[in-house]
Amino acid sequence: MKKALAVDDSATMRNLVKMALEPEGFSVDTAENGQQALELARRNTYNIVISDINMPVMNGLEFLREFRNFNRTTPVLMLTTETEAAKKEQAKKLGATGWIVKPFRPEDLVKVVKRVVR
Amino acid sequence: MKYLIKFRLGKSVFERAIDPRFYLEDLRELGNTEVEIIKEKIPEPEEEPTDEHVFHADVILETDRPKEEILELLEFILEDGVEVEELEGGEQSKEQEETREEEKKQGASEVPESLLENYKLETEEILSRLSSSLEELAQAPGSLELINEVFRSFHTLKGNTGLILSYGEEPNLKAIFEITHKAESVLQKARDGGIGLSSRQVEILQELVDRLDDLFLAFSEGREEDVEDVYELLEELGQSSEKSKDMGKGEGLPSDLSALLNVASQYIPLFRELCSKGEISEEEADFFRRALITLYKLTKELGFDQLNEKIKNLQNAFGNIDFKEFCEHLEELANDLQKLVESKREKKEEKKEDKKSFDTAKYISKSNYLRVEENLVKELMDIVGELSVFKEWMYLFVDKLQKTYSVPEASKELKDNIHRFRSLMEGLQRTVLEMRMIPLSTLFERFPKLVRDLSRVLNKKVKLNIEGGETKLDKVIVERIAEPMIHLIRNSIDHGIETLEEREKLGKPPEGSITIKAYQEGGSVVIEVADDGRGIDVDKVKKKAIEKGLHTQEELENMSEEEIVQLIFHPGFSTKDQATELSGRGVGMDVVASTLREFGGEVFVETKKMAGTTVKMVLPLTLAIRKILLVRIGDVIFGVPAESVGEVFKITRDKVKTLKGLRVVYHRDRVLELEFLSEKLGINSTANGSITLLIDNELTQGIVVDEVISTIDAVVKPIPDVIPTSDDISGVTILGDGSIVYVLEVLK
Repeated sequence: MKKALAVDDSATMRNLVKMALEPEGFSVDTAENGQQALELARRNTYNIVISDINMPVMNGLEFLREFRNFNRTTPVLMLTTETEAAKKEQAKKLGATGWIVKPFRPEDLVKVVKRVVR
Repeated sequence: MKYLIKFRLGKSVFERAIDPRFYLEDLRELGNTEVEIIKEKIPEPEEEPTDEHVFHADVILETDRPKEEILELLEFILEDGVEVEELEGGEQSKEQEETREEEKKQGASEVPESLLENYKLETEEILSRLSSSLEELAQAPGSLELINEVFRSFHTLKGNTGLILSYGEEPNLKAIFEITHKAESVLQKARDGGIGLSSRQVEILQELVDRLDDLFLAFSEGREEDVEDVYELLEELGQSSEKSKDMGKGEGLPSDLSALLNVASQYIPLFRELCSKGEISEEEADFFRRALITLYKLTKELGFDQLNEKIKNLQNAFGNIDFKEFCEHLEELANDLQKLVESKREKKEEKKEDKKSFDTAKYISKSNYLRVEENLVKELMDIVGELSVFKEWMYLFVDKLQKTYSVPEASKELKDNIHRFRSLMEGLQRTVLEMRMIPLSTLFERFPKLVRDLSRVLNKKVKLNIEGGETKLDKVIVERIAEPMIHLIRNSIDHGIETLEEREKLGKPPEGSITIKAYQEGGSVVIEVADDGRGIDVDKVKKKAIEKGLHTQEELENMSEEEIVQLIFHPGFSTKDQATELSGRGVGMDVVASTLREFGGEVFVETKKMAGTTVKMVLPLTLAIRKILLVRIGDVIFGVPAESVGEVFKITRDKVKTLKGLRVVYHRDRVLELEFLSEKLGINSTANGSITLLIDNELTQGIVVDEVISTIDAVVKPIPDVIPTSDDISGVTILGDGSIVYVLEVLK
């Protein structure tokens, strides 16, 4: 079974990712911030990581930087908002595979995920 | 249409875990492609990408899809060296684009139920968090930390609301979106500029949160809330941010009205005291000068021209006129200031009063929760339980009408309408069950303290992570798993996680970790307790199992490690050589297992040497009503909980073979050992030709009954302890016709 990690401080968003990916055959782990996500990512191998940017404790970009220190092969998608254009560039530099602009629907996410995971 | 797509990709994509070959596959799906790979050197999974790594290819794609779709597909690598050129046939795409746009617009559709539910719950949470953070922020409008917290709440609410809106327009949500959007941008400025907020801005934010409450309520109730007033507030919110920014550039003075009021109320008594002396020292004169400068600046910034003029005159007069005369003028100013202070205070208090009464109103309308005595819910539950038994009776009665009383017309009419009764019953059942559900966080929130205390006593460092506290479970179950969970955590810290020195030697981080994770899986809730300790020593478990006579060496050799570790749940099992003070003697995982089994839960363990142990508890969502298979053996009827049955099928008796003295059947390429319930219970089977097998969820064992009669929803009542019964009987249930049926736990 493919494994995904959804990182967002919003439960609604975490649930949305689950709703989108579980029917596609992913088992989805969730984390509320970058720190939790890092711990999970160190212990598990994921086929994809989907992370919000603005989060408490450790934000998505900090998480991405740390994550890429030990993992270069797992695609990471960032959840961005229209206003975070500058962050998109930053995320790319830090190793983000792609992004999806909020708000999005489950089916939009599935489409993007399929583009980066086989 | 034909497109030429040039890939000229380098290091920058490989650094982002992108495999460009995927894109070739994706393009193939869009139409006919001709691919020419010019240069391909892709780094190995563990290889560091360098400038030598490239992927150059030209793809000619012939497709009827619009260019936008191709660009969208390539979105993530467009800026890394991908070009899309139209080769021919560009015209017809316009039309397609239009239809596509239209399709997009028609995107309005129903929001998925669970998403909406989630949104509502989280919004309530965010709004209540917002109003308490803003309360704190009102005390300290400059706190960047609090501002960031408030910012994030607005940010999350905005994102969530945007998501729901993407399914279709809704006026209340639209207003919520606009408010949160504005608040977010003002707060972001305040945070990033390091200037903080003015108290007026905090006030506005508080008012806005109240309005968000109203809007959210209106949304939940499906009516439209008037939002005229909001726009004024939003405008003011933005303006005050400009203003406070400008003033922030002043000489580092606290710059709003409350600052003036503060300063004035401190200066006035001092002015009066000094004036009463008649003569002042050089330092005191200095104080007057500084005080006047401060007041001058503040009144100027706030635009209190009259006061400002007076202060200016006083400044000029100071030292030039008699001190007594100066004091007279000063007294005039002091009076003016005092009046100002008093009037503002009154206003503030009025506002507070206002707020208080408004709050009460809000409380009344917002209260989506109702406290109900637990007993009442239990009673309701019992009534619903009895009703569902009655429902079963109705079904029996339909048959009886036809067969026994020979009134087929009545039977048919009842039968045709009974489904409505059933669906109402099911709705009622579901609602009552939901009333009993509480989030696991109510239990989990006790654990951080437990972990701190235990790690102190055991001199270990342990970090606790909790996930999925929002998962809901029947209150009764939440209460009953408290003890087993405490036991598991205790075990993890005591036996699992190594001492600081051991961990250091092993190269593990000094701080051990325990992760508690809850989630729903089908009709069950799973709770995992995982540690990163030493794991369970399988050899020791084997030794113990032999010692205790649970298994022979031979048997153990035929078992997988996974099966062997599960033995720790066997009664009377304990792995640590010495029982420590905390874990107590003789109490082991078996207590956990038996407690869970009592209410239909299960427990598994997974362990990795030196890497940790995960205990997984699978719990039923609710205790109250269970699906029961009614089975017949001879002329006796028994119940078997449906959740323990993986498969049911009929076979003829001659399919049963004997293998090494065991009776088995071949099923799905496996040998299945059979147990005949008739023999176990001492009842004569009356099934001659064919028998029925019930197989467990793992498809490892089967029990044989004569036949399965039906499936019912039933309340299973435990048998009082005073009545001695077999371990196989977990309770009784009463059928529609009033007869009592034993419920068997034979597939555990």
